Amino acid sequence: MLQVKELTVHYGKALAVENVSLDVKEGEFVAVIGPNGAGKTTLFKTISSVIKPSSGEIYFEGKRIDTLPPHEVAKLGIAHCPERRRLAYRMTVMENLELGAYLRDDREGIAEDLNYVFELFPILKERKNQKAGTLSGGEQQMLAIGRALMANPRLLMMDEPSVGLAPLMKERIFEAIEEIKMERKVTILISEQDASLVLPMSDRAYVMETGKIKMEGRGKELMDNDYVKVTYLGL
Amino acid sequence: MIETLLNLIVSGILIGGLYALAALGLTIVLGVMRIINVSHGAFYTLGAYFTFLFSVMLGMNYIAAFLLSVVIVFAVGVIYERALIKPIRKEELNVLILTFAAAFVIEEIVKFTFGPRYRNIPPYLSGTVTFFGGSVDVQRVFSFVIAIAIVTLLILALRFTKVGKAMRMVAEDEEVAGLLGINVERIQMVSFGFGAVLAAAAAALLSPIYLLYPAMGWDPLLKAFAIVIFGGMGSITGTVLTGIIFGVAEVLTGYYISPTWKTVVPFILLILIISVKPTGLFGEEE
Repeated sequence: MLQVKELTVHYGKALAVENVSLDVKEGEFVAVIGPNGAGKTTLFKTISSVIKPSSGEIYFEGKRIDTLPPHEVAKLGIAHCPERRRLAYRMTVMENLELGAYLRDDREGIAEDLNYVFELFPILKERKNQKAGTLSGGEQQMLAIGRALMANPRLLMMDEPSVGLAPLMKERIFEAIEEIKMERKVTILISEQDASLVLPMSDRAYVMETGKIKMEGRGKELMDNDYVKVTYLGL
Repeated sequence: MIETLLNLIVSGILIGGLYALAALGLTIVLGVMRIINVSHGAFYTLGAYFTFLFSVMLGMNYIAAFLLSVVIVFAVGVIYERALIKPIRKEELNVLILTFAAAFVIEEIVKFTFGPRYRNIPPYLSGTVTFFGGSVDVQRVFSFVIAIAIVTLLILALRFTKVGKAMRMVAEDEEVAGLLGINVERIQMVSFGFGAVLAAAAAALLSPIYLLYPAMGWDPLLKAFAIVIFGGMGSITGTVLTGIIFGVAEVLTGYYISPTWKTVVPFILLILIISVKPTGLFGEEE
């Protein structure tokens, strides 16, 4: 479904992503784990075409997308839930969710997805008329995920959904992500620093360090890998 | 005594509504595009002269002249944005200088086309209405009502329409707006057009009240800047309220102190508020 081929990206003058190849098949749950500054966010932004690569190519369902503007990439069915939420903080919860469905005009489908988001995160329904900026960090993360779901995407990309959250809230967010994985027919690409949360539910995962893919494998395999155990699972 | 005061406040509010209208255009362009558009006053000038062209020179009825001017200035704004702003938008200083230069060019074009001398559009409404024992021209009341109607429509459109919500999203986070499927460049082009229209509409509504001349746009430009900063950058409520506050302050100063001080008062108020609250009246801390 998604193919990233030999991607190199500079962020300003710094080399942020170096010769990265990655692929995601329809229906898969694929994680990219790695420390802060490994280039995960740059990789995700390049897939969404917010950043243009220095070299390499990205294909979505056989169509080259790295040459398209971001809104055209979104139109193909890719939703990107960005790092640190990036909501419209001066707008209400409801307006943020509506903006998630910006490209859609199937009223019934939108209403169904709104119901789904409110079932997944009941607190958002309670706060639907509140400004997004007044929500707690965890609630904001729920809204960011909800907003991405409102696009009814074929590929859902979530960039570090647990960053900056308290341990309990992290678990709550990952429970929701597991639910999305089970219940929605959506392919998921997720980046995460906390490997212990994401590896158990991943079909496959990539370990990214200093802009490069260091290793890849099935989620369970990587959990048994000595390097991953020591470096990312703290075992 | 008190009647005079009330009457002055009424005329201040009437003129302030038009200031608010013009300043709102600047607020929208600043919010959605994060650029300082020094050409805003030139769009104001164009609005006045197009209204003059259609109503006085071509003899059209005023409402038709107004609407036609507004549509033309929208088109001018859109073309201006595509041709001049879009290629250099990320270079803030260049945008500032370019819009400054373009304002002079537009002024010269107006001077060349219509001549340097003062022009006037005769009031199309006559008579006065009485407020608090003093009288106010019907013309001014009408212009104010139209201005407030436009401001209200704009606020409703920003709040409830899809384009309005997209504009607010772009204002908050351009990058994420793109991720959501919003065509950011198109939204910015349209916003710039609307910004120009608000300046033009204010000028068209003021044209039966004030004289026209090619450099007429600079004074409202400076005033609009002062209003936007006083009100708190990006705050629509702040902009509208400040427009009215400035209108009233000007009229009161002109009457009780001296007409010479009238034009300076908004800027004194600006300096005062900025030193107390740097983000302006309704500005939020980032």
